[in-house]
Amino acid sequence: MKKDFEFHWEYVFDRWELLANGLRMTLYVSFLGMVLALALGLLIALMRMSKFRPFNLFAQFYVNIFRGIPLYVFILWMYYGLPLFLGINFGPITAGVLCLALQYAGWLAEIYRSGISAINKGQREAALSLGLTRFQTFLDVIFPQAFRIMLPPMGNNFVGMLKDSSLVATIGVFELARQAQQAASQTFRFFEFYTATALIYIMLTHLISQGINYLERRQHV
Amino acid sequence: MDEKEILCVANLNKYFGDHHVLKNINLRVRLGEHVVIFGPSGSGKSTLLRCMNLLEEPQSGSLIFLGKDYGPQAPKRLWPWQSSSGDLADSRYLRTHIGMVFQQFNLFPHLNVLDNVTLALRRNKKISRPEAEEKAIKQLTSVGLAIKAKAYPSQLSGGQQQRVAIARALVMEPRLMLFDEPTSALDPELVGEVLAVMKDLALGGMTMVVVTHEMGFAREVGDHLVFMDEGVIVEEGGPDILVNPNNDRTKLFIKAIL
Repeated sequence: MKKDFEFHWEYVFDRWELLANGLRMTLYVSFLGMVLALALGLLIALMRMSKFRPFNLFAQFYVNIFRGIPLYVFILWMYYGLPLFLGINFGPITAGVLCLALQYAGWLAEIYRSGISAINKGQREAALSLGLTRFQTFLDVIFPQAFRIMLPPMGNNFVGMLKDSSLVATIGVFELARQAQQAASQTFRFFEFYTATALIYIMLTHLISQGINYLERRQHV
Repeated sequence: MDEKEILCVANLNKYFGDHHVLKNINLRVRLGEHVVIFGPSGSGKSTLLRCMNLLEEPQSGSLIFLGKDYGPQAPKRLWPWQSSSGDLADSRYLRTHIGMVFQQFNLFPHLNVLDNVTLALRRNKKISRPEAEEKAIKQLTSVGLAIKAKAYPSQLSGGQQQRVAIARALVMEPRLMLFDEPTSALDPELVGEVLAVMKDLALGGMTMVVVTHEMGFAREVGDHLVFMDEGVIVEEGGPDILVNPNNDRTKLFIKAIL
């Protein structure tokens, strides 16, 4: 440690509103991204498990494509590249949320798939033998059981998305990382602001893991 | 058609890839009859049972349930907007009227006993929850497990789980019950309680097709015994085929297991 370094946390406390606004945007972007990714991921997973070949191939293609692009590159492509090609402009928030949702849907699809295929085929047979439709079988029997298996990896993905949402700062979304960056460069208190920001991220991810643990404990089986 | 016939399997063939699992099977189940299918493992007896409620789809032949064909050649009901009462074969109709009990019980582990038993009633018979639960409790009482209504399957012994599975099938008021080696996964001391429930059911007049290795049960309850080997019905007849089998293959098998 540098001998003459002095902490000046008061800069952070004076500008707490900036960080709070950033935090709000971070939560907005990652919650919205997660909800969309959960829905899209389920769709992709069902297509992946479908016997209809075009669906199956599309889903495989989707997962492989989005697994292969770094999120940072994808965000730049979506915000700066795609509008030139298509002639439509996304706002930075829309572009950011879309990127997070599209990319995480690929990961989540794989989680859904492994969760669903982990359920013993006897469960499906028992449900069908009682005269349930395939849809009822999925909704009442397969999914609730798969959900328990999927919860921990989904929680990890949510934590991942929360942290990855800091990448949308590069296209000018004023979320937590971007606000911290700005406040730090205005005051030159880089250490204090980035430390505070890191702590906020740590607290958030801790809260999410606690939430997931709580949900897990509530499940039977 | 025989007036009392419930199910008729005719010229049924089933392949798994190149493997011919069921070879031209013919079998008839009459009202109130207790058919017992036995034979070595891999003989196709479970597959035959699973074809009867279309958990396995045969490649050819017919499966006539209450006068209607559900075989692979029958025109099928595929979409919800098609009438379910017409001529189209609806595998769901078949399954609602045929109960099945599995070797591994297959209770739904995330639901308690009561919800296991009422699920299909609530979803498909448009019955309110209290009414469904009343029926379920009645059924659970008949298998001696009403006190376990709020327990989860993991809290029950294997024998208890299988009795719940029987109640779950019975609550749908099926015309025919299929049992797929219902006691094979049980500890020996738990086999008796499940067989007792099945005997009661048989005495009550339920039509049953049972795949089992329990020869005592077969002799006592079976009206029509079927011995299968390598995908064909080798020999069938009354319980006396256990004592005086005609076919050498049957003789060998019975000698080996008794």
